[in-house]
Amino acid sequence: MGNTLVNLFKRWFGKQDIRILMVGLDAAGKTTILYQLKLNEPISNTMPTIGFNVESVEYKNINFTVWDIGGQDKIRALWRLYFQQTEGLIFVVDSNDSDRIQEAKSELFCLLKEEELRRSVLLVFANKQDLPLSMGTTQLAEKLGLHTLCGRKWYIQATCATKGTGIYEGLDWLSKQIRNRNY
Amino acid sequence: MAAENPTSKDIQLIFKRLKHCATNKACFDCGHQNPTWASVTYGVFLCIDCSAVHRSLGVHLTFIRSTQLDTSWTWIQLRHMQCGGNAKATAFFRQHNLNTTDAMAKYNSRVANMYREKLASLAQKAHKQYGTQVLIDTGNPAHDHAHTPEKKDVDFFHEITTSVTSITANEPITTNGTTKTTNGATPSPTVEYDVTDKLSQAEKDVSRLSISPPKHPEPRISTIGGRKTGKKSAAKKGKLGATKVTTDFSALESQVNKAEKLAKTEEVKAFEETGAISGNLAYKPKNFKKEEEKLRHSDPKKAAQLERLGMGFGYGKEPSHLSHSASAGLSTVEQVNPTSSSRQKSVLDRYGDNTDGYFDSGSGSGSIHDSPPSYSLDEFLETEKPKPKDFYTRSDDSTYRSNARKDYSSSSRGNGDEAQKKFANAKAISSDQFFGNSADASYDTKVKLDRMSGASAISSADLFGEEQRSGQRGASLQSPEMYQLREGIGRMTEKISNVASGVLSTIQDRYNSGYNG
Repeated sequence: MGNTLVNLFKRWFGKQDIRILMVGLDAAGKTTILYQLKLNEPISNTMPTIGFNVESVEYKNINFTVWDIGGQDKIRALWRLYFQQTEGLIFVVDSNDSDRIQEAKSELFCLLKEEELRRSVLLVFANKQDLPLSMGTTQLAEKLGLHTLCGRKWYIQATCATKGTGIYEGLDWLSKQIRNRNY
Repeated sequence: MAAENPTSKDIQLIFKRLKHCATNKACFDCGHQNPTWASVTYGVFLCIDCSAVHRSLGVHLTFIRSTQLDTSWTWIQLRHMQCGGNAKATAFFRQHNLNTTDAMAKYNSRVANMYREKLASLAQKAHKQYGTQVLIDTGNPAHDHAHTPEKKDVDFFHEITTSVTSITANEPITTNGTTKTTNGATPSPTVEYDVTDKLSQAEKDVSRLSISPPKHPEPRISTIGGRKTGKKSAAKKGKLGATKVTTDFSALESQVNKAEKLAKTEEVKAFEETGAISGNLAYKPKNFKKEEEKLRHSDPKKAAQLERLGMGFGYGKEPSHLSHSASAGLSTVEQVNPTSSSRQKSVLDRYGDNTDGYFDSGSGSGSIHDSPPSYSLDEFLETEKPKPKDFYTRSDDSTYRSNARKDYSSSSRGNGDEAQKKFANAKAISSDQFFGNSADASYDTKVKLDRMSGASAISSADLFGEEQRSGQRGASLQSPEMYQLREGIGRMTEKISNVASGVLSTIQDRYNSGYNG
């Protein structure tokens, strides 16, 4: 009896720890998004990530541990080492890079095939919306083939990481999904 | 083929060569030593700090790749690097008085745009000229003297290909004659004959391209190869002697055979994945046997003559001796996209000739027809992955109509079972590849997607709202709508309990007052 009460209390007032994996092609803006979340100030000129960055961010009483893994070809092979216990997958796309959208799609579909990511929800950040040739979310959703993903919960959010717009909207959805799942 | 991506070995070799150049040993922007990053758009080498600046500008201005960590360089990107280089870019920028160090101003300027376009056109030109040749002559003196030994190698192969092509060029006198006779003898099957011949020729061409560098439209002044081939052709023209030519021919024939063996192995590797094409290859001999028989029936004399002369249809008996068939040397110029055309052709052929063979050979389709109508996401993705563009290419008028019809028929669907059936159906058809009604599942969602244009965020719940609700009805309270509903119910019960307690309290009050009074 007492135990259940404690559990209930924890659930309502305690913090939840969520492991988030953030991946995407190189130069999509993963590191910028991560540090925008962490430091909450505009960032420019992030160096290419060789390896990974990890930060924990608290938002809406949920403690997000966000792993940001580099996107270069050779580092992409290491993504799978971080799949374990990932509850949310953030896939960052450069909306301005129409040439490599097919590459992004194939990488995304490779990820979604993974057994370890079967239960994780998918949040797509359509980043770099401030650039002149950027594609909208509708166009990106279509080009990434999101409309063919029926068994998974996904959400595509337009963002501009350098200004910090749209990131928290995405996290809102993520936290909602995770709360819904746990109840 | 030119569309193939270079191997990691090629990439390493190219960058090793390029970094021999002194100007490429320092960062283009800051002069830092040993840069390992590159801007493909400008063909310059950068350090990691400057690459960060470039990355923030966006790929429409400058596209950054790592020379060490990226392995998916394309040929055209490598040509950018080979045609460019730090020295050229510096010279160009200095020449146009662009000395600013501010990256945004520098790469957004008109001069930078000019250089970008110039380099792009140069790279395209080089790509067309050299195809998949690893090392090229860019007119950059710094690069040129560095790779003379490789040049010799390349010339050696080049020489072989030119000699081979010279032989095939000499042959048409006889081949033309034979094709003429076949034309005269059998007017009806020649159409098929020509088409299949072209296809096989195209396949052969492709395989040949993959092992040896392509012919150059504007051949370089090569040191050894050029002179040798010139001598050969002169000898042939001058003497017209039978003995000389035959000795040459036998030597070259063995070379051709070797090349073909190589080509064969390459071919087998290349077409292992595409079952349709291998089916096509296996199908051919049968086809030609049929034709020969037809010929025998219609004109036994001609057929006998053909057989006596050893011409036949070439493929009929042994498909491995492609080069000695009369038809082998016919069309070397045409470049056909082998996968699409041959696949279509094969399906058409099979469908037209014997439907039994079609269903037997399509092992995948057969199994899918039998499978129960269950829908798992993984399977769906797997069947879809090899042909990601199918949905878009097939959404033309005819499929639109068929989709509409499907929708009418399945409009009564209300529960998850129906949706599952629908997806299972789509899956089966998508693996069918040819009739292409697979789009109907994705088509619905695509229409929905179109309706949402302009939204800054779209979720799966928005797009698949109906299906998900129907699928999860009564099972669990996971979707956000159900969550809200539950909250609403909670509020209602609260209100009801309030009302009830109010009623109770009033009754109690009255009772008390009545009792007291």
